Amino acid sequence: MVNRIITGISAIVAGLLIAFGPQYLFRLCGPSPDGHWMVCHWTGRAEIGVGLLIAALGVGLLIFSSEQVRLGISAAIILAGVLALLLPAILIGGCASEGMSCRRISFPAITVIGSLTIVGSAFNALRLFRAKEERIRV
Amino acid sequence: MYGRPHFIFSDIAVCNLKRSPFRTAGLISIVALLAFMLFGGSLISCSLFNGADGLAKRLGADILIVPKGYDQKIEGILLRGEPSAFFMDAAWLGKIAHFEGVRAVSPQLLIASLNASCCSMPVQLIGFDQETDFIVEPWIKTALPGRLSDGEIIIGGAISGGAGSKLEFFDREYTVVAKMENTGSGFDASVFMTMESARTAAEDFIARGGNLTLPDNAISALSIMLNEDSSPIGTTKAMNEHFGYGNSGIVVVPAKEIVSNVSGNLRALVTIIVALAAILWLLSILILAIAFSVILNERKREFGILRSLGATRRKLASLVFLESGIVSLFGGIAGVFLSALLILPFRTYIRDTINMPYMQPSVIALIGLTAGSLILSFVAGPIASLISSAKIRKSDIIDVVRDGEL
Repeated sequence: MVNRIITGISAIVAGLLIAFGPQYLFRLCGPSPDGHWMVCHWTGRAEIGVGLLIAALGVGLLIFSSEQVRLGISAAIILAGVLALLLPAILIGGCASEGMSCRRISFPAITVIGSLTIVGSAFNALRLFRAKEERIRV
Repeated sequence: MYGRPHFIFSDIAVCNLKRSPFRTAGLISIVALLAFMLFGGSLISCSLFNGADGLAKRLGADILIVPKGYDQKIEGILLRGEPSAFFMDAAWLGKIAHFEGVRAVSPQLLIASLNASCCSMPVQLIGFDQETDFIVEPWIKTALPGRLSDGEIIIGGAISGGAGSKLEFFDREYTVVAKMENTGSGFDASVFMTMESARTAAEDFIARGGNLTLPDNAISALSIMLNEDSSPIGTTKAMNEHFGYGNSGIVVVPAKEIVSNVSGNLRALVTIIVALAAILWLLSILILAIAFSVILNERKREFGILRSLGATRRKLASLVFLESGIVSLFGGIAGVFLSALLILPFRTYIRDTINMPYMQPSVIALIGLTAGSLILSFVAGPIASLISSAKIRKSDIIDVVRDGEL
């Protein structure tokens, strides 16, 4: 039960940070003076979707007691975490210069949160898998 | 037929650690903090040295001449890539070229691009004269065998894109023909073009209503290379005396002074980082040693049972040693991982905060730093458990059983 609460809440917090962090906390580049949006803006929009998906999966970790279901949810969080990393790095990208706010702060913050989400979920999946194996052996 | 039953001490060590998860997590956290500081400190120190080294190599010039009042601006451009635009009369080129001790002189025209739809990004645009240049071309010869044409640009290492990609400045498109290697200096966030292209960019900016006055025959700075027997400080003094310091409208800046200022600040910073890491290493060993000693007293009963089951004192000592080794291994890996995760992606933010040239080391150097930090944090646990292990080896089974009230 404790594990369910810890992993579930961690995933929800990580998901919300990925979704709304670039909008409010570690902000992306704003529009140029003429109102033109830069590339990183669209990466931020895509991260809202991925972040909310991770948060929803985190709710799933809280709700479901079946270890097999939680194992599947953890695997899904790992994949969503990889997607969160790929959006700024490869799939959409950001502004051209390293000095821009998105590449200085927002993308590194997403990298840190995304990586911790992946590692945390991988540990949880491994723990659930080993618990399942142990039960089969008994 | 059946194997002789025996204890597997590594399993006992793992079980012991699992049995007290909070204690184990606490010990792992201490080692993780140590590894975090060791790796983080050495990575930042290494990056600062690389940055200073990159700036010294890339600068090339012995002396820089800029318009009066812009000596801080040129430092900002060189160290941090802060975009700026300023001008002086190109007639200075002829005056300086014939000055005693000057081997080569090359002009640059500096234009700042904007954070607007007209421009791909706000960067420093640097126009350089290909006939006299000795700063840019030595670094791009391999990437650009021919000459740079108007409308073509070379980008610094911190700018996305490569040869063939297009960038827009003041609504005019430029083709990237080469990309420079990262140096950790302000050059990484700069775009290099011909003098004619830079002049066109400035005119485009003015045409778009930009607040800039571009005089005829304007240049922004002069880079000077001296003869081998001339000293930058001596020539700077002679130029100031000759042209009238403060009245000539120019400032003569010994370029190496910028580098030596950076190196001086760097040495002080690195000394603090190394001292902190050393203090933390010793402190961690001390805390771990106290923790293991306290844990040992709590576990006398357990050791008594193991001794009565036939475990030798040597085996018990190695059990403590093994537990501390496992704690150190996991703590070291966690600390290095977290440190790398925080420091590597935030390199630009760190560089801007420290305000010094900053270039992260190569992959091979990073592997070396990781290995060094892991080894130092890994040995912390076993070193800290030496006293506890020695106590066990000296203690007698009777004492252990009696003290454990078995």
